[in-house]
Amino acid sequence: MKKVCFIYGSPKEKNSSSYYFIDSIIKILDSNYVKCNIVRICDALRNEDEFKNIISADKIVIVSPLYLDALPSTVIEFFVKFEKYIKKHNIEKKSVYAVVNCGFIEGNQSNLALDMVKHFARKVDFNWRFGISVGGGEVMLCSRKVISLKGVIKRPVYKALLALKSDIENNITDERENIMTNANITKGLFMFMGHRYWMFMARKNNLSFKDLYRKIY
Amino acid sequence: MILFINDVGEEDVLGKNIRSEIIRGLHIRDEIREYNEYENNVQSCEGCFQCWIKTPGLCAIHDDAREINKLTIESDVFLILSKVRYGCYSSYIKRIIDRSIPNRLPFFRVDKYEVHLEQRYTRYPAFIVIGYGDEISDDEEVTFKKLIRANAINLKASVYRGYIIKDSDNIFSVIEDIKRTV
Repeated sequence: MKKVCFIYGSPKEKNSSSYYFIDSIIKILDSNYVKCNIVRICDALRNEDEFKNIISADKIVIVSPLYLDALPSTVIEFFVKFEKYIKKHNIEKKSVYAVVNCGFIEGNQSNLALDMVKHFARKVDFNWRFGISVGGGEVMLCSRKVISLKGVIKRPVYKALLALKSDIENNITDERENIMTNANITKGLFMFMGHRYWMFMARKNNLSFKDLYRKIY
Repeated sequence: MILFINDVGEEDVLGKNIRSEIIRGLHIRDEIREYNEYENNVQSCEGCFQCWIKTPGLCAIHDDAREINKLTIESDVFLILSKVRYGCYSSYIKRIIDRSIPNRLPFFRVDKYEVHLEQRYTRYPAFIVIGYGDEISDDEEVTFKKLIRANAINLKASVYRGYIIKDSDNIFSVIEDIKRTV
């Protein structure tokens, strides 16, 4: 039985794109062969005992949002602490994957964040496998009840997650390139949907469209 | 005015040397406002988006990041001195970068065929980053420099520069280059 630990990098409880991807991946993994657990980075930063839940796994999947072209500060902080823990306790090699989702439609905007996970894996002598960079993470989350992950629109992302599933469940050693992907929507439609979303949220908070442009300095 | 953010602690010999040369080299010409990891509290971003949809332009968390965001808009140069961690900034510096999104709008623009955020203000400072450390791999260095460029595009910096310092020998030449830039 393979053990996989998902390290959840978003500061939000569960209503996040990152959690949506963790949930989706767990659902497509074969539970007869793979046992999964999830560790929140925020919890691991508060309590080092959480590291034991990570190192009990054979494979680690970092799932994180993209914050300004890179991993969030909490993920960097976690890597620094986890690196010290690994070296202190002489932890055996694990396989490492990453799934980073960004708010922009282009999946390749998360490239640097995937590289950062790779650099961490190499620093602790873990086996970096590959990463998936998903554009339009919020679109995937907001439409989860109306558009299936397997449907035409989200299929490129689904295929990327299947590649992850295959690597996790089998003993593949060949080097793999990162996968850049996003839902099948145009840039124009993405921008239109994004703007409408922010206007909707503004109205919910009794703000006008013009209020969102406020300059306070 | 130079807004100078750094993560230098008492035990960072290389960081302290760089910081001293920055202060010595730049304070004669310019006012320097400094924020340091061990003296100024900045919490990590909670991803709540209140700075966009509840209190536009203002972060919900009351700490030094609010003042840093204000000074960013008022300064001529945003200068960062950061340890390089896995090709990224240190977590303290990254907290400041993450918490800078109130200075941006939630709306999109296209820049060089890529989607980015629109800017809230019309003017942003020069963006200068010095990464330091004595165990930075070549690959981490490449990632770090790409990150600075990507951030400069998102921050709509008027000018940007990125440097890596691995030992004290090249501190002077980096500071001289910064002086020519600013």
